[in-house]
Order: sequence, then structure tokens, then C-alpha cells
Amino acid sequence: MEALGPKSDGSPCLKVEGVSRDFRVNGRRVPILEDITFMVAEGEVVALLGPSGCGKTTLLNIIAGFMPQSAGRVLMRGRPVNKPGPDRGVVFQEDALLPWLTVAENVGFGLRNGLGKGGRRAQVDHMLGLVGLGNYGDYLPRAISGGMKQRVALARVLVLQPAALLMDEPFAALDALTRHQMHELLIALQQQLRQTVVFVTHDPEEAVKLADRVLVMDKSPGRLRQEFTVDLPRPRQLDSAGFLELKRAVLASLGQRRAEAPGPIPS
Amino acid sequence: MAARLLPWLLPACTLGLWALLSLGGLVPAYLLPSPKQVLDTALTYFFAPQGESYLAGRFLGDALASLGRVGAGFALAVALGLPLGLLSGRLRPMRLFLETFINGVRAVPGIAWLPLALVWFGIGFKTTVFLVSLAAFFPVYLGAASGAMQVNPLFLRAGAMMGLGRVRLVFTVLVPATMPHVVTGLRLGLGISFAYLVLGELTGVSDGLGATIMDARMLGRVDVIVMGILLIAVIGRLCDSGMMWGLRLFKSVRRL
Repeated sequence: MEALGPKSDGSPCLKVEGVSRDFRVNGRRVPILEDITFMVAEGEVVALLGPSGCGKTTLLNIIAGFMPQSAGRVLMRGRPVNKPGPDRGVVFQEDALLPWLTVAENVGFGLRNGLGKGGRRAQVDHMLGLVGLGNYGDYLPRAISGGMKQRVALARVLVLQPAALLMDEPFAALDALTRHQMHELLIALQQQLRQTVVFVTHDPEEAVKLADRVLVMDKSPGRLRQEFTVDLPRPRQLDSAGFLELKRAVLASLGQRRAEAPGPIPS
Repeated sequence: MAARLLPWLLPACTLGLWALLSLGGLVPAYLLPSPKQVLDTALTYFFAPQGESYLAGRFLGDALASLGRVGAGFALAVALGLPLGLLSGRLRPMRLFLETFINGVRAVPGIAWLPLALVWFGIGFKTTVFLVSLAAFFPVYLGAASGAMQVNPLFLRAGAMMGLGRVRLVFTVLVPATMPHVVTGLRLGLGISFAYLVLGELTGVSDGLGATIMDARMLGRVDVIVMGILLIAVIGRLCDSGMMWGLRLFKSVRRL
């Protein structure tokens, strides 16, 4: 399969080439991901959309360097990925802030000591301001809400200026209003920082609302089924004809069983 | 206010009951001396010029000797138990390697080691330190191991994702995240250190709180025995508080 071209004609940031992954279950080899190939351009936002169990989180974990692939390779700005690193900031689905550190300490955690205390504090304060938590630096994670925790999780990786931001259903555990606010924040930050983002979701509306491209995945084994380019201006009107039409098409693609799928992505 | 007084209520009631029983003549003085008698004995033990009686002025020397043994034994237990526990909690091969041996040794009561320790190390410092460190090792090790095993794997992933190497990951993520379990292990270990301190000192060493208690038994001085028990309770409690105070210097202890 040939790499899917990015929407923008920017240079490639992330390349996933023929990545497969098997798990061993009771001695049997179970394929989870099969021959996944795509490319993400600098500054692009790509959604990986699929039903639960399709391996989208596994794919994100491979890109993040948390687990090895069985075949294929992942290139980050041309360099093969083999372990986690600050060039790929990850926002997890669950709360993964360090509970013994304050909000500000969490955000400054990955910053180099070389910056000095003042320099670090300045960067942390700036980033906390960007995610709207300027007054919460001294709070402990247990004292703030779920939405605020995800803001901190976003801030602690953005402060490291990652080449790509990887998000694993980061808003799935939030209530609808908070989720909407997080969407707004993410869009604003992405526009401001020209941040490359790959995020995993099972929600077609979220995918179409946030992404430049939506990659729909198949299940058992996980494959790329179809690609949608979202050519709508931001901020997107969720009730506009274009948005609804695209959402319906994505939903239909997601709902199809493999036999009815419109064939593999043309090679 | 209630929170200030409540911790002292039970000790005060026990003291009251003790006074009632002994002063009311319900229990004869040769079984249970009165609080006043024990206090007088303690004052002699603390402040009387040395040599005035066998007990006079020996407290400081005894306490320092005992604390030295507990300190050395407990420190040895921590120095071995903490790293081994963390390793076996995180690395499966290490756990498999250690588990059978440690659980086997753990099943042997400390007292059973006493005769062997006497043969190996003779009467005195080394035997006591051996017994204390042997007994304190297991709670410290188990606390660290179970803590390390239960660390949220997302914390380690988050650390690695933010660019931390293995060594920094251990000291800035693994150890802090393990702290609540480690603290429990340390407190249990320190507590049992005092139990084995007295055991080690009952074997005929010349100084220490346990030795004083044992000598008093030979001399029929129940007042000294009761005083020794109370002193160990107070010193044990103070050591626990002191250790907790020191541990609170760590953010992870204060905040978790």
C-alpha cells in the first residue's frame, strides 16, 4: 500500500510504513494490526477513528514507542522510532498526572534542568496560561476536576514542544460540556502553535470536528479502511450541511461490515 | 481540641486503672508496683549518681546502647530490603529468583535464629544487630516490592514519554509513587526492630534496656520491669514519630 498523501503539502512529520502487530493469546498468534501505512504532514491534525478493539490505541502506543511493532516501521521526522521520547508528547485517556507533584511541577517535570529555576518557571507559567490554568499552579492534581487534569496533561507535553502530539481518546471520560471546551482549547492551541496532532477516537463527530483528515479503521485485524479529508473552515459549524454530510459518510464507513466495505484504500 | 486530647485518653485511662488497682490494694505490690514506685525507680535510673545503686544513672548509657543496636540493625535491613524490594517488584525474573528463598526464610520465627546467632556472633552487639536486621528486613522488603508492583504503569510511561532515562525514572517516578507502601514497610520494620532488640538483649549483654529488664527479673524487681516496658513504649513511639518527621521531607510522603 502506498502512503496516503497529507492534505496540506507540508513536509512529512510522521510516517507509518507497513506496521503490523500480533499478540500472543494462549500460544495462538492473533493479528491486531495489519499493514498500516499513512503519513502525517507537519502541522496536520489526523484522527484515527475506529470501533473499540480495532487496535487504534495499540497503533498509537507503537507510534509513541511504548511497544514494538511486529513488522514495518515508524519514522518521526525521518528517524525510526524505537522508544518513547519528548518529540512525541502523549496525552493519555486516563489521568496520568503525577499525584505527588503540583500542577506547575507536573508541567515543569520534563523540562531540562539547564534552563535554571527561573527559566523553567517562566515556561511553565506561560503554558499554564495558554491552557487557561494560570491560577492553578500550586494545586495538587487531586484537587482539580477531570477537565482541568487533561489541560495539565496537555500543557506538560506542549511545553516540551513535541514534533507530534499523540492523544488517546483524551476527552472520552469528560462530560459533554467539558469535552466541548477541550475541543475549543485544542483547536485554538493547534492554530496558534501549528502543532501536528494524531488523535484516537471512536466518536465520528469529534473526528470530523477536529481533524484535517480522518482515517477510519477496520477491526480484527485492524486495518485502514477509508480516508476522509475534512475540507471545512475552522471553527466548524456542527450543523452546517457540509459537516453533517461528511459526518454521515464517516459514520456509514464506520458502520459497514468488512464484506460491504468499499474495498481497501486504492493502492 | 478534641483532636489534641484524644491520643492521650487511652494512656491516661490505663494509668488511672493501674493506680486504682495498685493503690486500692486489689493487686499486691510484688505483682504490680504502684505508679509512684515506678516513677521513683525511673528517677533513680535517670538521674541518681552512678554507682549509688546498681540501677542508678544508667538510663542514658542503656538507651544509647539499645538505640545504637536498633539503628544499626534497622539501617542494614533498609539498605538491603528497599532496593531488593523495588527490584523484585518491577522485574519478574528478580521476583522469581528471590521469592522462594525469601518466603522460606520469612517463615522461620526470629527466635529460632537466636541460638545460631549466639554461636556465630557471641553475646552482644553483633547478635542483636543480626536479629534486628533479619526481622526488620521482611516488612521493608515486602512493602517496597508490593508498592513497586502496584505503581500505575501510566506514570512510568508518562515519565519515559517526557524524556526521562531509566535512572531518573526510578528516582523521580518509581520511588515517589511507591512511597506509601514503603512508609508502611518502614514503620512495621522499625516496630519489629524493637521487639528483636529486646530479644537480643535478653541473652546476657551488660547494657541496654532489654538487659535491664532481664536483670530486674533475676532480682525480683517488678518495678524495674514495668519501667523498662514503659520506656520501650515511649522510645519506640518517639522513634516512629521521628522517622515519620524525616520522611515528610519527601513531597511524595506529604502529599500521597
